[in-house]
Amino acid sequence: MVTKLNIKQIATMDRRKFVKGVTGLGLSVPLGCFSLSTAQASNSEQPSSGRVFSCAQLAQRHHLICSDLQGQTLFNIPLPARGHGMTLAPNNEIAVVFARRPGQFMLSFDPATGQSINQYQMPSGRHCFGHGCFDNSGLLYASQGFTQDSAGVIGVYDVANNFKEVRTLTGFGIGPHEILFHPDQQHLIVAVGGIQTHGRDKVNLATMAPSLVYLDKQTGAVVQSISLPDHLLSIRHLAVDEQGLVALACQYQGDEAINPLLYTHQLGQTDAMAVAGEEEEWLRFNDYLGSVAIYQDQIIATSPRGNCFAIWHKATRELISITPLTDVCGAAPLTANGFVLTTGQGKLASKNSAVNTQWAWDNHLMATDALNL
Amino acid sequence: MKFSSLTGFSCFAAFLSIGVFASAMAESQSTIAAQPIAAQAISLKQQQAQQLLLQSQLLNQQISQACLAKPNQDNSKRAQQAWQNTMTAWVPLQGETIGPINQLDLAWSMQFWPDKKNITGRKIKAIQADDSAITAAAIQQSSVAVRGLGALELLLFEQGLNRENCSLSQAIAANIMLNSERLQQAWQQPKLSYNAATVRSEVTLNAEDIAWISELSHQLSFANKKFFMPLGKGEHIKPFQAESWRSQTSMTQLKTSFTSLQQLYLSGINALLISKGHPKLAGEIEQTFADMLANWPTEPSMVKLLKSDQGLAKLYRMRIDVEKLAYLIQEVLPVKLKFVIGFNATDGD
Repeated sequence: MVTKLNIKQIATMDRRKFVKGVTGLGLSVPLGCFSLSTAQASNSEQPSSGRVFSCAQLAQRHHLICSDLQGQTLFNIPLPARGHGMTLAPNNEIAVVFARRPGQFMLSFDPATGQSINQYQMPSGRHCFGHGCFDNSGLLYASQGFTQDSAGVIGVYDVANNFKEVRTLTGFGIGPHEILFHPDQQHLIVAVGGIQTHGRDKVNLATMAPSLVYLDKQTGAVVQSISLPDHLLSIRHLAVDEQGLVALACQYQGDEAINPLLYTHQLGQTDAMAVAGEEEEWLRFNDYLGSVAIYQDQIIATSPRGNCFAIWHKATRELISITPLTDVCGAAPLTANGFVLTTGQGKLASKNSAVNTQWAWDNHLMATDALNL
Repeated sequence: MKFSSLTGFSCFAAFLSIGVFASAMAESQSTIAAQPIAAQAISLKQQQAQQLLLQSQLLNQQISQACLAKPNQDNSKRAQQAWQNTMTAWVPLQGETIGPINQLDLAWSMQFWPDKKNITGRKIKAIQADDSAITAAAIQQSSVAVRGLGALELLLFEQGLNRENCSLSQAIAANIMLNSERLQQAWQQPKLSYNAATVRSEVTLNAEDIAWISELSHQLSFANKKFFMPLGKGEHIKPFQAESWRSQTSMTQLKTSFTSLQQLYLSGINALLISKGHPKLAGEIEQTFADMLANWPTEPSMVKLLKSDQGLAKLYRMRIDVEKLAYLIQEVLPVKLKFVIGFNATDGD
């Protein structure tokens, strides 16, 4: 048991950080860490079932990869260009990967076998913003923009019917990025980044107006729109829990202020609330959180530019820990077995293991508990 | 066994590190010595960490002696010089992602930079307003803004070493020395985890080669940030974003950065490029380093350069070489060798 030899070293090394975490939550001295670590080392001998899906690069080529949590590649789909986010249909029988902004394709595949099913090419004048989600009826909602002015459009598709576009939702803002469904299944939550681009060049920073928007999924009407205190905070990425608590991760587009980069909000609340953090801690993230995930009572956000990830307590919004991890960006929860992180340097880390792989993992990942879908 | 999610987080972090260390032990013992780039690069890092330890010990000694004897102009000057020597020894380790700085999370404890809103100044002021005793142990629990070289620079160069700030200066110097010891000791037995179990390139680069070429890129990014942040955007220069503006030695430290990057490049990476059939690129990178360092301005202060037209012209001239080097190392080199340098840190969406 090589790991047992090192557990004490690591536990000792991280002890102060750990103390900070639990004392911040008003709990007693964390003597459990040693035994818990050892117990988890034992757990690691029994591989966790589960799989991750992520875009990745190898030798300057783009792929969609499915891997188990031990880093074993289960399948590999070559992509026509760089991909970004992905989403799984409610029946688990189909998944879709989206081209990275300002990309031109959506590709559906069988998440169990890796068989490509269909590739959709964006019509002239529209492009992908890299994210999308299914509703519970199986319709796909994709975050897109009109290329001329970056005005946001949500394309709604019947994926099984050759990506037939059944309607579009517009008029909610410029530059949508990640979109998710509210657990009520009636509202689409949209991170409206607010940035107009030509290619990937930003052209409206002085006037950008990001917002968190809740859309009626049927009519496209804006049910609620929330702004943050600084208009240069572009809302990029989202996570939502079963109670509808939304975590918003931002990118600061200015260089004068030190702002919180993570907020929480629930539909109906007047304002979004910043999570806790000192100025030094926000500076460490270097103005950008790349992904956000919610796992049980924790919010996890990655800072690729800060080469670290951080964990907050969801209810108290206390900062629990910041942990260095070079080039981390992907973060996703498993249902009951912790969360998964990936890095551009090939690491795939979950609660029970941290393995090196051949893949340079791109920005986002999707994780499922079941090894066999 | 059911674990609470509260305890789960810390052990996730611990496990992350365990994975790094565990896989590293096997790899480091079996492969490091056999890999030319890794062996040379690790040897270089060991020398740099040894030099940092030596200089931080001298700094600690100088400040302690000055405070014991009562600070005066002479011993304050010696303390300032010792700080500069320690800073110069620290610079080659800046921006490292391989090794103990990252594993022990020591980068900001050694040097809190960039400091956009003078957090160091504000937090030092708050500490000095508090009468409670200051020790190295207390400093280790304080804000990262007051633990390292930037805070000590403020005390030695802005305030000047004096009876009032002696105990704080001693505590910070001791903390720097302790962290330097941890770095030096860790580099003596490096437990490094390279990022791929299998080949990640079509031109038979191994994981160690890729890791160290990537490290050159990461450290170059840090050096470039030191150059570009004070230049600001458009017409708005930001002189107080310069790394060592209080001691007026930012240009000297930046030159040290590029000199140490040149050393890392010449420790096997250039030879690898040549061996893989890219002698022209290898020569271009080597020449760009040489040109940049040969034409380096003699003025040690970046603030002074930023505040004069002539100085700005020199910096803009330098920018050509800085951008060229970044292009060659971060854009051309990975394409030629057909591998991917980690990219999430530089191109988020």
